[in-house]
Amino acid sequence: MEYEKCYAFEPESARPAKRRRVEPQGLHASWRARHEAYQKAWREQKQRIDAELSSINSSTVLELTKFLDGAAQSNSPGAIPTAVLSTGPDTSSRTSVIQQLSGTQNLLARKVFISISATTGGNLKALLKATIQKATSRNEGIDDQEDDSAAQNKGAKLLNYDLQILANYVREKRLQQVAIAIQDTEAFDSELLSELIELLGCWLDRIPFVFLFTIATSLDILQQRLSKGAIKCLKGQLFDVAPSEDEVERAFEAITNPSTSLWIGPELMSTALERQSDYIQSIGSFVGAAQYAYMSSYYANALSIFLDPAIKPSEVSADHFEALRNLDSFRDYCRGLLDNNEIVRLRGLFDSDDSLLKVVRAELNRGTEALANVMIAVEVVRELQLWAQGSRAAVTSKSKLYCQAMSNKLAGSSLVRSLLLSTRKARSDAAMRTLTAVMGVDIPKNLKQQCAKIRKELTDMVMNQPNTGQTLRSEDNIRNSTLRTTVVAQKVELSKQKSTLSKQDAAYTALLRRFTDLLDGYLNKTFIDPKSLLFHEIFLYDLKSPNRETFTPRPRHAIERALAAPHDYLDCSCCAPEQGDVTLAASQPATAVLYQLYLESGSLINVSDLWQAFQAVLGDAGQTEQQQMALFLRDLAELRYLGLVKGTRKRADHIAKVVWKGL
Amino acid sequence: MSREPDQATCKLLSCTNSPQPRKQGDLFPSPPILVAYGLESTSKTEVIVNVLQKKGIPYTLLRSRECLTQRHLLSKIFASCVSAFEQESQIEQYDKIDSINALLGNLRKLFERVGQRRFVVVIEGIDRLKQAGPTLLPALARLGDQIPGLSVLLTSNSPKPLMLQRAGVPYVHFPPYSRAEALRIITSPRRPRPQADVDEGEGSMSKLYAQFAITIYDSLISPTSSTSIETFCKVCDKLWPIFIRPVLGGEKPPGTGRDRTWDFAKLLVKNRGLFHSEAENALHDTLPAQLPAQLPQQQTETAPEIMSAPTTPSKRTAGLTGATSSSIPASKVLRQQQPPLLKHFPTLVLLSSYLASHTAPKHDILLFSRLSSASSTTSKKIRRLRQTPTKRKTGTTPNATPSKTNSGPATPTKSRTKSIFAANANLGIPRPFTLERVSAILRAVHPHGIPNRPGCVVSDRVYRELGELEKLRLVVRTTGAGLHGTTAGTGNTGTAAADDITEEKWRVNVGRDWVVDMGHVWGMGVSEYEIEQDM
Repeated sequence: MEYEKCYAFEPESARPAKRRRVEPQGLHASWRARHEAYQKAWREQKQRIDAELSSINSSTVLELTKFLDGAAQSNSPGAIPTAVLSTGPDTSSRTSVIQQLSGTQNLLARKVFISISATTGGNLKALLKATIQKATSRNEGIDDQEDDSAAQNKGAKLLNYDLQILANYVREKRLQQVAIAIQDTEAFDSELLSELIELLGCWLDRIPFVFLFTIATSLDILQQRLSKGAIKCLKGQLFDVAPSEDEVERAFEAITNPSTSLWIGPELMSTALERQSDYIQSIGSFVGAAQYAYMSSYYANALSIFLDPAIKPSEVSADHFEALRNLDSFRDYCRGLLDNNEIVRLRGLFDSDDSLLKVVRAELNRGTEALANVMIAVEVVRELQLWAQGSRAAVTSKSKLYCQAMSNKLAGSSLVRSLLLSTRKARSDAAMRTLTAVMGVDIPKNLKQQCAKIRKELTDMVMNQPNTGQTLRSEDNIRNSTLRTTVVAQKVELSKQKSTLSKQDAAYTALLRRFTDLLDGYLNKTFIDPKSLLFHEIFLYDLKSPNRETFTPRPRHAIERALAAPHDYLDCSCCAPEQGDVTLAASQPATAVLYQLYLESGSLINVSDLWQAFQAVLGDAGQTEQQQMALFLRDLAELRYLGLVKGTRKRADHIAKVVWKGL
Repeated sequence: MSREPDQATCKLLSCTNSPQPRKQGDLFPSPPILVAYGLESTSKTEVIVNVLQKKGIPYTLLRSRECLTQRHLLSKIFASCVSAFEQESQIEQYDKIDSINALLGNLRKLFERVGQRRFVVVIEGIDRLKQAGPTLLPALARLGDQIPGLSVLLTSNSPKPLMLQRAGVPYVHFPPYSRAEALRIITSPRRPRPQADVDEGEGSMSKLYAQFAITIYDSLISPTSSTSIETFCKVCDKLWPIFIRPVLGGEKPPGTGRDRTWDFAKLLVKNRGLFHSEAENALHDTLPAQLPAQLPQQQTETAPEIMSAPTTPSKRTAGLTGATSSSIPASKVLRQQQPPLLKHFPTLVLLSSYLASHTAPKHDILLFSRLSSASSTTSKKIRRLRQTPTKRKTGTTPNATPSKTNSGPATPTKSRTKSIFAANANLGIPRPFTLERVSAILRAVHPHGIPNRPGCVVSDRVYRELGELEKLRLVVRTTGAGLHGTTAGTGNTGTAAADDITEEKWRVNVGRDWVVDMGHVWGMGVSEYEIEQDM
């Protein structure tokens, strides 16, 4: 174990002697079809996500392009124009911006865009070599038919890290700009970076350099790391890349696109979102989590074969229909049918696979549509929030609302109630804006018509009031009424007094109430419990544990548990915890015994004491002392191999405890 | 910028001056080597180049800053000689320049071929050459002896004499510009003044400018960077437009009388604030970074605190003042609007790493164990324990102190004797820590506390987040495990160090301020876990 760092695994024979069952049986038979269905579904989803994500930084790219153009036009002596791109700790966004930029810039004839990173070269020479090589080896196809073979041989042969090569190249091709993007500024040795900047600064009069730094931390840190001379060479401008929260929202929106067939449930989604907001993670890992959810749903849930709308009854084996009939939601459905005395239909579902398939198709469509409607209702809630609170910052993110709505916490919640109340208090201009905003959302047709009707009435009302230009006020707003106290028979009575509200105002209030009632009805109808939908087991995937095991593994806990409670893994009868309270038993693996003794001791362990304790635990179970000693030594070596103990200089006969349990 | 002919120039002239060669190919007594030295920005190269041009001597100028190696410089010397004699077509006949010998041979061949002509090689800033071998300078000093017609002119920024290993080398000293010289250069009519297109009263403006330059020199330049004329220039360019803005903006000068005008004294009073904050900022080189779009409104926010002029500045003034000011306030304003740079957990890991790096292991029990959290005020407890060092071991059952590192606490007597050294040696230098220690500290400093149920993923997450922080270079991995072990063996560091070579260790790489800033976003502080280094 100690001396062999790695070994080659050589299976002894190609095939086991036992006959294997090669053809998959039962539910497993549809595996291939599901695999294909998964690939198709995820490909579509991935395309949507990619499209969303690539558009997110387009404004930054545009700004940077403008900056580069401006820098090419105005040549400022003495300082290299520098764009500092602040991206945050997430690495994926910076690479995408640089890639997009280099894609557009390198197409231009008189510009060169190269990107270098810390891995390009460890010292100045290597870095320059790579830079020059990248800059001069640009695709030559763009260039006009200049005869540059003569120019190549002119003069002495230059060393390959001599910037003179680049200067000559710039002169020959009449380049306007050589942009150098430094991708991971933090990873560079600060001295090296300063030297590079100073050196390039020397050549600025011959080579029109432009820098592009991407920084993951802050500008201050970059400033501290660079030498004074290097800073003198730079003339900077700061650009911001969209923060990662935005990216997550965009990716989320792509994932919950109405046309998606498989929906990710609230629990799974909220853990993924939480992980994204707590730790430094690229957007890729969020997308990865979604992909893993798709994979586990399609691979493990045999019924996901029905997600393919074009599936034929002949392609599905009878086992799948049997499984379908055993679903909880289907049973509930059947009970409902029974209660309604639709026995013939129920019988048909039990007897005929075809009719069941028809129902499945219809119900799947209905279910996904209902979930898509939930998304639209979420959007309505957000619009209401925006106009009620008045600022973008107060609006709850879509992903958060989605998780609430999908776990059926939004229907009739205090959030929605208070939103409707504040809408009811709005003045006519604000109400008009809210109406327009709600109509802008993709709400159902009849609701839209009713909203349009209300808006028309409201417009008429505002136009027809006697003194035009004044906004109408709502009676429900407390500020428009005063409280009056009267003492009647030694009792204080509070009575609301409507303060000078005109007739139009009253009519307006009634109209607003109609609007909010309409919205209330719509929201209550739309925010359904997804778990109540028929066949939700098929199109809604909400299993946390596979994702948890994959994305947040707990190796430390697993090792500790295996050593401290081996029964949990071995499940043997000899050391089951029922046999008294003794956790230490000779029947346990010797390493586990030693580990538990190790847990009991202090930071320095006397090996002799440990050996005696070990011996006492093992008892006289037919082993000689030599055998026990061999076991002890082996287990101690194993603990050391796991990094739990190590030797110490302090005392020769002691070992030091390195790892504490439960940290 | 031009330098008036002064003593140094005259000396230089006399050195290069030779009796007119009577016929082509005559040897001339110009020195084979000449060194011009003086501090930076004393216009050595400009003067030399101008003198050589005026006298019509062919020369080439090489900057050693642009050369990465000695070989690079040598090949450049030869290449420039070749191109000066227009011998590029015969370049194949010469050897490759990889040593001083090859250069000498090649140059001999070249000069023989073209006939003996005068040529001067000017090498700027020879003291800045990277990877210069010990023989380079002596060789350059003798190059002119070996090749008739060639002379080498070196400039050096350092006052230290060059190791030329040769007697009788003429040195020309370029002293830094005196006050009068610097002012003459700055105010010389040949130098374009910033905003010179102002038409009103050209004469009075230049007079104002002269006075302004004197004030700038006396207040800012002479105490800080009197040698650098460039800094002087830059500061003047930066501040002059702000200084004369009242005039250009058409503001009424203070005082009475009909024909009152802005004179220098009035402007100075008006711009009192300018010479405090802003001028000092102008001296610093910052990486000026501004967001193009949000610039104006943010700058107006920060402007009032910069501009402490007695009268309230007009809106326009304030906006423009901010625009020219340093960028640091702008970026600070910006950060508040942005989401925090580090998310919650990485911030916590960074904080713990900082504490792990800056706390001596012997204080761990005081600061991070139950002992400290059980008491109402940590500091009180620490103080009491500090007075009675023997009590320190109370309540330290082995399992109750998970944060204790592998290096056990030193005995009190030992720590007292070496405390002076320890305090001096470790002041502010981050020490490496192990993964076990940082996760223990993280558990102690977690604001909400980590639930003590099994299956909490926190400790498994620490390693990953440390990796992320390492990528940002906020935390760096120290390779010093083996190194540390050897020093421990010699007994320099008292605490027993890691003798396991494979053990990974990290060290925090940012200063306290930055860590505190980051923690502040999430309402976490480090101060309650710090004790002074005085014990």
